[in-house]
Amino acid sequence: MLNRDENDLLARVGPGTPMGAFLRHYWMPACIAEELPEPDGAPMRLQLLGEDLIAWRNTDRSIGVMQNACPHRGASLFFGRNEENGLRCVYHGWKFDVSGACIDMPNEPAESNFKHKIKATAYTVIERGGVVWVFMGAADPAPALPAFEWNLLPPEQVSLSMLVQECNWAQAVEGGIDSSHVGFLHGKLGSALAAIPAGTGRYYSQKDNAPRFEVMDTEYGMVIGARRNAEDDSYYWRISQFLYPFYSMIPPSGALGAATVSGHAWVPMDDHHVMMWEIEWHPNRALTAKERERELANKGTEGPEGMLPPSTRPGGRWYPRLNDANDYGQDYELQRTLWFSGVPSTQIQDIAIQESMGTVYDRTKEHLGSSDTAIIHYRRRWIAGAKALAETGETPPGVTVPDSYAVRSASLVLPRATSWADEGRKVWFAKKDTTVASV
Amino acid sequence: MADSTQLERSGLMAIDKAPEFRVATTDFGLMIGARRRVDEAKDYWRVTPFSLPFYTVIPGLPERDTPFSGHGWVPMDDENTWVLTYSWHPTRPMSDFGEKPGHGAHWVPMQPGTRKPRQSRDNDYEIDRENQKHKTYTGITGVSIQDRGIQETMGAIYERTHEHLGSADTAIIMMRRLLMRLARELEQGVAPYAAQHGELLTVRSAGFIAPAGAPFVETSEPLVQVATNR
Repeated sequence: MLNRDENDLLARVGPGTPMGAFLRHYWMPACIAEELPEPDGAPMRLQLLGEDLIAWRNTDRSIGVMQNACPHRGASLFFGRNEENGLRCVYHGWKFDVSGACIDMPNEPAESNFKHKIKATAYTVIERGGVVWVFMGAADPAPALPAFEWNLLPPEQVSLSMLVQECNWAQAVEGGIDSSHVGFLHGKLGSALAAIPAGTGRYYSQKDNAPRFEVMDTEYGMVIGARRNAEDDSYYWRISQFLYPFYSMIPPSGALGAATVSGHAWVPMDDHHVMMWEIEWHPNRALTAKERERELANKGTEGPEGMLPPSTRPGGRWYPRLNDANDYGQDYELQRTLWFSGVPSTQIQDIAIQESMGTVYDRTKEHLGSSDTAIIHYRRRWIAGAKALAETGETPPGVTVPDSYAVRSASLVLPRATSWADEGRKVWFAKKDTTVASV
Repeated sequence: MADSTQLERSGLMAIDKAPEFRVATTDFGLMIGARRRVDEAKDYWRVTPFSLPFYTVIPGLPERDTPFSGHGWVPMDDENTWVLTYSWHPTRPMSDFGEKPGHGAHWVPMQPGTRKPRQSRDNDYEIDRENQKHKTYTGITGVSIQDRGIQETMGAIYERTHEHLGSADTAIIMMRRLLMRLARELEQGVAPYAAQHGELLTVRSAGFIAPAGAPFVETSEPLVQVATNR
């Protein structure tokens, strides 16, 4: 339970807020590169941390991200002309380069130097691994990008898609790091349960619905061990990381070496919208067509994982078809027979339950249990980090150790007396030519 | 009349994209002049009367006997404006000027049953990027919608605290000062003169070629006031 001030401090991320300042020390994954497919193509609206931005791909293929309001008189640059390595406002023809400098001001006399006095807010952009990364902080130079394995592999080994959740980022993060809900919210019933082979991770997950949690602090954030009973003399450990400022890794399921690793990022658009990234990768091989099914579904408009027809609003390609307006496709018959929740998709189950908590969840009225350990830990560390930055200028954690982000989640069956962290350390570093530890 | 394609064909607007602005305060509001150099000997002037509280007449081409047009921006509330458009010819019937005479605004496609244009914020004013590359500068069809679109994108109520105005914004600066001054004077009990004198609104715009360096007010005022009986 947080008090009102702490709740606001955790949740509010716009310009001038303490958490907003904290998050601006980190690179933001803004969109996937394929959303800006061609040089001199249409500009795209972006919204990050409560700021309305415009993104465009230059003639030379570099990408610009700047305020979506011409510094002249505030007109939207969405209607701008993307031409000759700059974005030109169509109101009076003012043209901007990727640094936000006004490089042409054709409606003022040619000899005027007024354009040299104009500097729009523009952010440093790096395109890497199919992701457009944006740095909105003051540090110059910007820190190095975090060394996520999934961002450093060839594209055929990585799957990326997104969807917009119409709620605050913090409750979405909390949903992501709380694996206690998996057996319920994402649970399947009846014949689906019976079909899971004994002795596998998925089997243990279904059998033991009350895992115990241990959380360890790390340079990049925290590593969480969720312990379930396996056999009489063993435990099934699902080890997941939560990395600053908003990345999770989900423990793999499946045979050793066969499983992919997956994770999420929750990138705040504003206080009421968050862009949730679905990330999946295999360190050693290309993903199969089956492994890309969900990504393909997210990029289309059909089925439980499909999106609404694309619009040009920020994140407009990624609004789910199943949403609040249609009760997320929830069906009572389905709830009796197949899905514990009755909502026909794992992805949408999370969104439905998180959005239902309110646009900005009010943490002053809750009752947390032992299964909420990771959530309590996250809140404490993130609030402390935002306060430390505000009070003493302390650099947020993780920023200066980008290499520490080269980790993977893991699932292990271990003798009951064995330390999960000791065994985890043998498998959770993302080293080249090592396999994913999975059961 | 303000058909932008006509003006572009005429070449006069295109010769100098950075006109010099002169603004004079008048008893009806403002007289706004934009001067473009044709060559060493001649200037092309476009003079717009701004009549209180919210009316303009759009300058036409020199020597052309076409209807005048203008707008009144009537506030409905703080976030919605009723744009009134009028076109008239002082001596000839409008039917002399084709099937769709007057300003393009009269012919903007509306949402059925309403006075709201079909091109709107919801559909990005039907912007067409191919059109933007090869035909119109904005990619938005229709002068009125180009104006409406870009103005709406500034926000439901535009926040003037972050702007950077240049010399081309002289008329805007003067209009803001004028309106704010009159509002403050009214608070002191002084009613705005123009409101009591409707006859002052019998003004026209002016578009003319003058010798280079001709004085703005002396040259323009007779043309702007030509229809008035002062």
